[in-house]
Amino acid sequence: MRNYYKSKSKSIYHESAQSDGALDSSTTIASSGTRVCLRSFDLSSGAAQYQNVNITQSSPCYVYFEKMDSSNTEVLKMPITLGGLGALVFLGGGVVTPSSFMTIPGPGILFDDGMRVRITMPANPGTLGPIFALVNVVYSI
Amino acid sequence: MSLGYCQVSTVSLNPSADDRQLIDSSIPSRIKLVGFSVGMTRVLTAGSTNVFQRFRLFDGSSSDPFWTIVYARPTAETISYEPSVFMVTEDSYLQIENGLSYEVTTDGLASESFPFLVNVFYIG
Repeated sequence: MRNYYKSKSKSIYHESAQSDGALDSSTTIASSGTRVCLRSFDLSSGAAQYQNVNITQSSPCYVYFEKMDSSNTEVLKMPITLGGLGALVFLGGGVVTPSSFMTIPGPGILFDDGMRVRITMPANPGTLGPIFALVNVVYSI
Repeated sequence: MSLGYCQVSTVSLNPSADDRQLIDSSIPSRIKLVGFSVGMTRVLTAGSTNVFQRFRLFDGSSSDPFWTIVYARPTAETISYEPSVFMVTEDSYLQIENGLSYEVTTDGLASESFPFLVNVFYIG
């Protein structure tokens, strides 16, 4: 008999206005002591103004999937896909922000002591509008 | 156990900013959501500059979206394009309890003639 798992999804969106400093923010998915399974996630980041190059390959946004133990053990870290630059000169990035949808093979990754999603964004100096980072995360508890 | 066959709802949406609506009133409130696609039928240039335009999905009136799609304002109407697609892993589903709803953060993302085309894959 096949089991089907009821999953949940949460959308975590951060936006930094122009001249904002770096961001480091964590969102709790499941508290310490809870078993939670990471099933899939979707990543994107970008700038509304095409001349804003504060997110780069050398300074990308990152997502970390961490346990809720005392040291917030890091299980998975990835740079967040960069795409949404609002201009024709960046073909492919101007309209629908390209995103990376990742599916964990098999039953997923088990977090045996809670889970949080930590997102970091570089500083956004200058006057070229906001930048954003987005993580849609699908998990089962 | 089998979840049964998947049903599909295809709708055209022309949303206004911050106006929460059901994706399709003919879909039951309580469904097992297994996928969706959201696509523009034309790239519009009328959106606000330097604003991230977001299409968000909710379970009913929840204040917390469970999915977000970001659209940057384009400067031309013809550029490369693909719809946003999400499918759950084969052995899972997202339970929607209070009606699959959506909301956009800005006007100008679609029009009557060129709406969003949304497909919802679900098991009722």
